[in-house]
Amino acid sequence: MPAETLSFSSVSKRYRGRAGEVVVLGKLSFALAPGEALLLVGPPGSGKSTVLALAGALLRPTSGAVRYGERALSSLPEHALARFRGAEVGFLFQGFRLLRGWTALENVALALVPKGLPARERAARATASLEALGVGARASFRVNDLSGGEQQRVALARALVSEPSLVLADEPTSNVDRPTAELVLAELRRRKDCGATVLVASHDPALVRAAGLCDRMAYFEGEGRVRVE
Amino acid sequence: MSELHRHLGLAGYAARNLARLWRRSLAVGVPLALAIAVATAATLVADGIRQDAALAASYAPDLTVQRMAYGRLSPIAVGPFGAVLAARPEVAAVRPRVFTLVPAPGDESTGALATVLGVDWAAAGEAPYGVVEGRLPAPGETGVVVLGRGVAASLRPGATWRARGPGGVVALEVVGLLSDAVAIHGANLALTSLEDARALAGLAPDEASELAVTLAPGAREGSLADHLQTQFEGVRVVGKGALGRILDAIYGSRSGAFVTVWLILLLVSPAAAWALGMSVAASERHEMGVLKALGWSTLELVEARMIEGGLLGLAATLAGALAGTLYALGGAPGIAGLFEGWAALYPTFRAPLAVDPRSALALFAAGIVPLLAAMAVPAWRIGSTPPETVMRD
Repeated sequence: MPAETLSFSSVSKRYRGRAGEVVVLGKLSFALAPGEALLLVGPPGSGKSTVLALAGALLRPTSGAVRYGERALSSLPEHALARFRGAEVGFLFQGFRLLRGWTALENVALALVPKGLPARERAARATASLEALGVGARASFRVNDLSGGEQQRVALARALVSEPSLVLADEPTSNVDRPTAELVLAELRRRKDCGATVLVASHDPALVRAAGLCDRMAYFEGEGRVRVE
Repeated sequence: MSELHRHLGLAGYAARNLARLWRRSLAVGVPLALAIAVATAATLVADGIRQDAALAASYAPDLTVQRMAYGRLSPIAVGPFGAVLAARPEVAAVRPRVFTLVPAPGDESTGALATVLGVDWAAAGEAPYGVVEGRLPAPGETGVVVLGRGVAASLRPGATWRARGPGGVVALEVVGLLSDAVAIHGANLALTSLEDARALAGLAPDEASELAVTLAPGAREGSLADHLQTQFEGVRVVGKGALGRILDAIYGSRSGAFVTVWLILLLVSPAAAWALGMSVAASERHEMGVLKALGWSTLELVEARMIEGGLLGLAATLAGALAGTLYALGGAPGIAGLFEGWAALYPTFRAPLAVDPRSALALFAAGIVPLLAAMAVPAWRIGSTPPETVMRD
């Protein structure tokens, strides 16, 4: 799918807790064209993951609008958001978020189930995705039995198997060794060069910058304040 | 096609989940399979007995006239009753029959009983009994007996059976063995002459246990039965149709009550499915969040859960039905006696197995529908997991 412009217009996100209202994000606005990558930098808990969740339609904003091309994600019904995630978004979560007890191949192929592909094609695509990231030999291993680096590669294979136009990566270089981190960043850059829009959240931006992945930066300064350059 | 593959993909996920979470699957499936197994065996045995009873009832005369005294069967005088009956235009033929219960051949300490039925072999209408070995008695022949195969034990044609009835001991030569076409006949009947049966039952020469009436073509059993019951005090008239209905009601209600009580145990499985479905572990909720992030919708997650329930119910029901059938083929020890009633007293009664399609359908519905119903709310609950759950630790 060709990428479209991702735009945040005065997007805020607040949570109501026992201690009162917590502002995670306050009136964030930016637009990201296809083929652009934005690096989200800031300390843990500053709202980076919330921006990724809003961009990937996992969350709805408290106010403001998130748009992907012509689609106003803030107002789409639940099933349309699910279709949007399945068709356009590739998530690389912090901590991998693989399904325990399932094999690497099954973890990747599960992302293709909503697309209605035949089982054989799901398996072929998942295998190709795993092989492209150097973990094809681990396809039949349960993810519990894989090393952290291998799990991250499987998670990336799952994120990219449906060739998403919007790739969202949350701390992709944490908890993995340097070669794996470099491979992950190189793969994200390849996706960007193919025209995908990429958002990367990291509290260690040096490595991301060194990979030449991101064109722009968003600094999360706490209490909902974000500066986008 | 893509819709079909999507549903197949969800089914594949559901099947894999059942295998992966095998402890949970067993917790729900094993009680269900056990309950279905017993219910299947009970249904097979009960339907077989009902079918056999219906077949036995088809051998009965159009009308059976008996005399009751103080609530019990009493000998009936053949002459007076027979003359009245024979004079009626609805009646084609009247035959006296004598029956009595005697200890079956073999070890008397078992308490097994045989029904000695004395019939007039010269009369038409007593021919339907077939033999697998030997022959039927000739008209007027006395001192001989045809035994059901189960009654006969080790006796074969040519052997002598010293039958002991209320009227005394009568030595009878075995001339044939009845076929098992009707299981209850094979297990229970000893056919002999009227004279020998009277001697065993202790009846006078003009007495019989009952009169078997064959109706004239076109005659209705109801009008004759009404006439006899108003003319003679203490007369009981049982029509062939009524006999079939009575037997069906006896065995039907017996099995119905058992299966109903047993199927209540089926509720254990839906209850377990409900409990397991409602107490969702954090890891499971997390998994739902991951799938939603991958593009799975709430409806797809609910569908996958319901397919899980359907597959589990189907697998458990099939396994239970298979185990129940094997159990029934092995004689269903422990439960067969509950349905046999008096037949349990017979020496070697083994009900034929039969299955009514409606019973089979009811069993499958009982195995699958409650489980699916119990899983609907938990499935919706877990399917509605917010997608952002995936972001939480």
